[in-house]
Amino acid sequence: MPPSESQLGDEQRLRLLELLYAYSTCPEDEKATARAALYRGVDEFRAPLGIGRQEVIDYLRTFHFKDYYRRRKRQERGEV
Amino acid sequence: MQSVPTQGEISFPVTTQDPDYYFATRLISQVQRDLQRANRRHLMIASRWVIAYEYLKTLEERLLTQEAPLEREKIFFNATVAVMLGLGRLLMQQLGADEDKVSLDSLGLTFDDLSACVAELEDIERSTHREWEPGVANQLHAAFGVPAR
Repeated sequence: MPPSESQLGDEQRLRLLELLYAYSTCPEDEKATARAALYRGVDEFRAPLGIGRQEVIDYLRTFHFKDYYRRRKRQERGEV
Repeated sequence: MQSVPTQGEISFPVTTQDPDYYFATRLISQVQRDLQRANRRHLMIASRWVIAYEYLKTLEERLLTQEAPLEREKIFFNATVAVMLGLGRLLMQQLGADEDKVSLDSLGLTFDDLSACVAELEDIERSTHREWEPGVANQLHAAFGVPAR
């Protein structure tokens, strides 16, 4: 059964959150590479929707990043 | 031409005894001071800015992982991001304009890496103060398969 629109949206959101998390937590000498990867991912997502890159990044930071960040940190500490 | 705010112009709206904030603000005041000098030592300024940025990232992690961070810590963090962003932009401008073309190689960084650190602070500050129009937020909720809030 093909994935629903909701499932696709969820997968895309998690993929972009992973890129945002990598950009946020990587060492300084990897920042440019991590930022380029985030921008590529965001641009692929937003192009068909006609939404700005900043809107997507701000949306992820405002509504989803804190929960994702906390979950990832718990995973890294082996708590999940 | 951007000017460097003087010591008196940069003030934080709350005080904190937290050692991470203490060292971050000490480094920030050193970066301020050095950027105002006629004989600027850009490599040292960049080095201090990056260390202050690392403190800031530690503080960000604390705020993101705490269940209910103190309001004054959030205010202090946001103020520190704003100051670091301004100094980072100025540093980038001076590094770009420097006739000697200071290389950041000895810090293990590229100009683009430093620029990406500054861009990250821009993202943090912009998203902190953003006011969402319901239409845009709902369009993104729908695109990501999230029920409208």
